[in-house]
Amino acid sequence: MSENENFVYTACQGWGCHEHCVLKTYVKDGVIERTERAILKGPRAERHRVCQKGMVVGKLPYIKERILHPLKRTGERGEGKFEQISWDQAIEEITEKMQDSIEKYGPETVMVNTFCCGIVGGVGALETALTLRLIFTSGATRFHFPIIDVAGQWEYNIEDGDGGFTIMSDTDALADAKYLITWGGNPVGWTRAAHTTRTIIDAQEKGMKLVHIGLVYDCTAAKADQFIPINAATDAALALAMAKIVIDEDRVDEDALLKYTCAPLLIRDDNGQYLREADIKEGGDPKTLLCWDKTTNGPAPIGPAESIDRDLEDRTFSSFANYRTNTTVSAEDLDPELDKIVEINGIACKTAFAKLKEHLEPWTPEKQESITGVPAQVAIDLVHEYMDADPGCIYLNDGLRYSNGGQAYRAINLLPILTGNFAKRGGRITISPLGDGETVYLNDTEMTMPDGYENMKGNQVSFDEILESFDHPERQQYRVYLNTYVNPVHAWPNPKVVCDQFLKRLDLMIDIDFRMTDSTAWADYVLPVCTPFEREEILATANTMTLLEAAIEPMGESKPPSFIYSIFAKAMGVGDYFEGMEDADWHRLRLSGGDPKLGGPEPITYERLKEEKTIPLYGAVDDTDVYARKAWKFDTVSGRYEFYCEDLAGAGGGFGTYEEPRLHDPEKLADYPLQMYPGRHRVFMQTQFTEFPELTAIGGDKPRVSLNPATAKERGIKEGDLIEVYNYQGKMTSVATLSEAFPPGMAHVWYAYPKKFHRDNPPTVLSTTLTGPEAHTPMADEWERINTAKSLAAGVPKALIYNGLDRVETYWEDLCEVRKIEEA
Amino acid sequence: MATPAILVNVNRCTGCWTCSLACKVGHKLGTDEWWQYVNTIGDGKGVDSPGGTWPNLFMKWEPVYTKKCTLCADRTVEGDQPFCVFNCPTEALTYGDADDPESPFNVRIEELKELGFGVYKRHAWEGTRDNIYYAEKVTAI
Repeated sequence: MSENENFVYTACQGWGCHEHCVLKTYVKDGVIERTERAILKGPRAERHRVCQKGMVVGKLPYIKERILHPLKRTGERGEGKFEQISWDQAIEEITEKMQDSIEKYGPETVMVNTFCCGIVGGVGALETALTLRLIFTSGATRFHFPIIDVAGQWEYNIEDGDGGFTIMSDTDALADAKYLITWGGNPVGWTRAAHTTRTIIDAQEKGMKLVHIGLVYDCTAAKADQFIPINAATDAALALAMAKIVIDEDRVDEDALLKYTCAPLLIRDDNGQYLREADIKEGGDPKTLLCWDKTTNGPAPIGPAESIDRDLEDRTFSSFANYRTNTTVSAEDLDPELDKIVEINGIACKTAFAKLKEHLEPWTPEKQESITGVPAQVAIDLVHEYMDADPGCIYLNDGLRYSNGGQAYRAINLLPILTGNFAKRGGRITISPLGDGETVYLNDTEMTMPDGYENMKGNQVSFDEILESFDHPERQQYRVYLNTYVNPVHAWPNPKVVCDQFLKRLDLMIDIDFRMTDSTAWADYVLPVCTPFEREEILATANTMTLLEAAIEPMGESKPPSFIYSIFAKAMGVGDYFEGMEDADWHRLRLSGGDPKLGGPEPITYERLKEEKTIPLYGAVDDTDVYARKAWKFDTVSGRYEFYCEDLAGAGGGFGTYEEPRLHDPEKLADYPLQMYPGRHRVFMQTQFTEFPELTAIGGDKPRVSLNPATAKERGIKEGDLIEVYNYQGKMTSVATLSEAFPPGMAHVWYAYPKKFHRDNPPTVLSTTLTGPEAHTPMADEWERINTAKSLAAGVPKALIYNGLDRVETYWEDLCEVRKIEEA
Repeated sequence: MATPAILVNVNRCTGCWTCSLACKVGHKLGTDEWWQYVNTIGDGKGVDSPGGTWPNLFMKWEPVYTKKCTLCADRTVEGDQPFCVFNCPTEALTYGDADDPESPFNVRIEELKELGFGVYKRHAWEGTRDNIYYAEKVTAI
């Protein structure tokens, strides 16, 4: 490095890709020069890679759309017309308006968006902790629990209880996979372009076979040893047929099934509920679950999953209704029968395994082919290879965003469960990879609930409830919206709902951002926050605790998030909880949570981090499979992994099933025969990277709609023609491009471009919102009804209830038609 | 160093352009200036456009080094790697002395040959930089 040059560590602002790369940022004469991948310390020092976005992200503080001063709306909401004001004026006016609303409607009127996936640190960010602190002290309303994928997250709840991490795999464990199926996502060279891709490529070089099941010929398809195109939203059919073969060919891991899963539990035929002791015995315990014991040749109590001897992780509070509720102790010398059909005291029942066999009976390879388009023999060979691999792994990556996606994930989960792959390193399933090495407890309870769990305040409501409230003045009103670190006008369908039914009807909308977005255009006040290059953060990453420092001073009048959230806290009368704390103080507090990984003979303190920048966690080893060290305690009714869910039996969802997707709706198909698919572009991901000419040079500076040439020809459309994409929701004008990468029957558009890039409308106008009657599926409704009630009864505060259901995201299940407007 | 060279492992390349952008930003090139870029081998229509007909498609990528590439001589003399090599997310690029059998460049070539890779170079008439080698393993279909 030359004179006047130094460096800091920064986590890439492109955090929403979930690769969570740490960068080394070079600064010279107070200006960011460039970034490169960071090499930290400890056993995983070179874990971090970087992608094309990480190479240019150092220019982020200087982009044209940067907001450097507080702004106040002058035009109508949505016009994006603002005047610059001082912080003092902003604080005064915001405080007054917030207090006005609170006086009328109580603190619940203030909605705080907690979707933190897009900010550096995500769930572990200081910003996230502060927004929760604000909600839990003030009684504000939590809006949009941090989930990114409706279907996948919902499925965790059901089968696992916990956030779904128990059968999941840290990305690094993929290095040991011998066979990897990427299913529905496009991680390689694309949505997980850095560390994940490198790991998969490493494994491939060592001989792993990569099979890609997907909708389009993308980068993962190009790198795969085998590409299996599949009809959209039919994945469950393939999975069920594969699961049937695992059982038919007797390739189940009986030991693992008996130890960890619901497989041996007896289920009543009449009502689909687990059989309880009270059902068969006078005075029997209504909570004790039963299996068939080979030792006694009779029913016997069966307790939770046996936990592998590993470090146990305890939680100081729970957001799950079934938190360790199964206290049954297994009978002595219990030898459960896996496959049993029996009648006990007149009650016909069978083990979950036997019931699964029945469930899978119709799912022949030919039946799945008729639905998925995957040839029967391909499906057979696929499952054979998966079974024969030791281990075989499946990587999902949140790709199945359909109304039937949750049930599809449950069907796919049968594969690692039945084969026992889920108990093997390199064999688990990666549903929604959020991990990066060891997680560290950053004193969440003290940070977010300073008065203790029992005194936490705050509510959580669905978008439906909020929208309905405007026309129901007798109900709780939600009139103030703090758009914290999200861009909903871009990301959520549909402007008719998000803008017209929500943002327009608020009394006050405050947007916190460092750049102008489609969402800031709707704010009454825009507050300029620092970019990650202008402030400090502490980050648990790659088995270290690393200090991310400011590369440059905050530009203009931008402020760190802590400053901004103090404003809201004071306005809501809880300023004391934020008073007298600089960022350094917050970090000290977060580091004092007692996590042993921060301990040892030289505890990791903020002061040490200032000196050393990056410090290996105490006891850190190069064992990359962190999930292997989590306690195998399932917060389900049985305390076991539940591939059978009794709560959903009534709705037909005891097991994972294939449900008809909305793409098959014959009424809609008649007029709108094409699937409208908003893909994620690798050089953009979300919207901010469209601000970089270096990246639009590669990804395209204008959005286009891609059509397979056959689909285009049917409509007389040629390359470059002006076209209209339209459906039951709306329409957008674009330019056609022809590509064989997309299957016939699809209109593909990149999701990343903000409205200003489009000719008239962005593709969200074509998307069905997940609010209102259209959003509901019987299965999801049933789960929400049962789980919410159960959670509340178990004393889980509403603001913490994790249904995994939120209806502001979208399914990729909208149909459309395309017509030519004009020749190129 | 006698003959600085770069080895491109085509099998590891995912066409992400991290190398090209590392170079562009590192050397402070203009928006339209590329000393190195990534060629998509597909239907010839552009970035990430595969060849063939759905679903029987093919695509791979090749980083191409123009004559403007300096092999980051000012960095390598300090013991650092070229920008592209250092930042490639998949470690598809290896830098070293082509004349030294112990250099990382040649060690990697030997490793890859053991795995059945072949090594090649571009034609002089393509007008690209010399001393850029490509390693590739074509797997049987």
